[in-house]
Amino acid sequence: MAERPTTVTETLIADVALGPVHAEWDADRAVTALYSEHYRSLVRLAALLVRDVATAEEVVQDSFVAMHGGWRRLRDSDKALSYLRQSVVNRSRSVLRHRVVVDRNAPKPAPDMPSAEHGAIALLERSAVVAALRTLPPRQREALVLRYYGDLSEAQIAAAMNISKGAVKSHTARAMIALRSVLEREA
Amino acid sequence: MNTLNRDYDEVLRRALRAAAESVEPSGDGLERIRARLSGPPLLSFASAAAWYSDGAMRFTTWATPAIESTVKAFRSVFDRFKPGGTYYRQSDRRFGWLRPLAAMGTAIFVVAAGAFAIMTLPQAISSSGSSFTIFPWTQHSHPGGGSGKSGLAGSGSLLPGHSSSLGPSGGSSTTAPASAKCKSKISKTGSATPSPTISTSTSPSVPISSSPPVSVSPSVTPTPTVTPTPTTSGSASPNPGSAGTPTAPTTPAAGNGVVDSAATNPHAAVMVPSRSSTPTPCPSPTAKKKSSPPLT
Repeated sequence: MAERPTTVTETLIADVALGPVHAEWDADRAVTALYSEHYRSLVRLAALLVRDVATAEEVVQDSFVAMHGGWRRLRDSDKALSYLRQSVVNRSRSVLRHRVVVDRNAPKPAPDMPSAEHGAIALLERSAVVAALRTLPPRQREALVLRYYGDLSEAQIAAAMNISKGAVKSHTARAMIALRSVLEREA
Repeated sequence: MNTLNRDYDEVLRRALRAAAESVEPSGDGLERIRARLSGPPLLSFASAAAWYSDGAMRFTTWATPAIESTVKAFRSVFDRFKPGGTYYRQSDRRFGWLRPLAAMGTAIFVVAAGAFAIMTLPQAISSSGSSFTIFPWTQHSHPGGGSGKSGLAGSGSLLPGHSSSLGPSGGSSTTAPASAKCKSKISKTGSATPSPTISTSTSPSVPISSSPPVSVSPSVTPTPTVTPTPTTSGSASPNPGSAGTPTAPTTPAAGNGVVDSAATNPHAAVMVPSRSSTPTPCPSPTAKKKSSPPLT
């Protein structure tokens, strides 16, 4: 726990940064507290997954709404944050799946008419590493983002992705090999 | 190798953080969440996208092979029956003469079926109808009772030439005097309820049930068109050639005319039921119709 760079990774881990989220809080107060502590990091996580800031905000807001609805089941800060992460990952998958369908069927826009999110995507993909990350399969990309941006453990990644720890290791290792090959090819 | 992996880890971590820090969410996120929580449950973009993507993928998975197989089937049918197709060229050598023959046979069948339908349809309609006749010219005239459905078709015919009873003459042209008088007699001797058929056929101005047909109604003039031609007795039946011979009022042939028309026309028997509790003998022109059972 002490080795984990919590000062850099914002508050994706429900530890001292969040403070006590009391079980006796109602759903509105829990949403407010979790929003003030985790909203930005969750939006950034979603933006890394879906490569779109507005969609990432939508995804995170939907996750908060869903958490508000299921607060009676959660009643715990750790459970709530884990639920939010898992919800963000699942909804980001759905968005990517929808985007695949749209890209397959819809006509592509003209190159001289960039969309509104084009600037944000370009900002995200300035780095060659992020561009190489984009070439990875979705599960491998999720594993890398949760591992290296969220600084989550394998168990937390497994819980967020709803897979086993072995699958997390496998996805991470394959993703690193593929990323390295892409970066070396570009270099 | 480990140091290389560690280098890659650090490179990846820095790159991801640098990319993430460039993302700044809008400040009204909490207000949006609260608006969603307070308002009705709207279908958000993400959930709609998820729903649409799942539905679209399922539909395309199901519909693509179905559409392809349908198109393939239509294409094979078209290739089979198009004039320059492979199947046509192969079958043209031996069975090419079957194609015009089949076309001719089909055309003949269609024409014959249409003609048969046109010929049989009016008869079917007229036989199925009870009181009104749509095509009165398809009926056969019967001797002794005027037209075959004189009691009904004459009064209820839709054609103006055949509606002889509605005019001021009271159906003097087509209604047989014998049958009309017989009807009147039946109404007089029978039950008190008048028959609407009789009232329209004799005279609209005179109540039928209480008036004798001969004296009251001037419309019951005998006409040669309705008088029966085959007479066996010869005494009571009027001659068709003798127009205006007043045989009907004096002889009881009027009642017999009803019996004749009822015997020959089942619809007339239906429309004049149980008029005469005591059947009055109406002398029939035919001996066979004398022995017909009385109306009940």
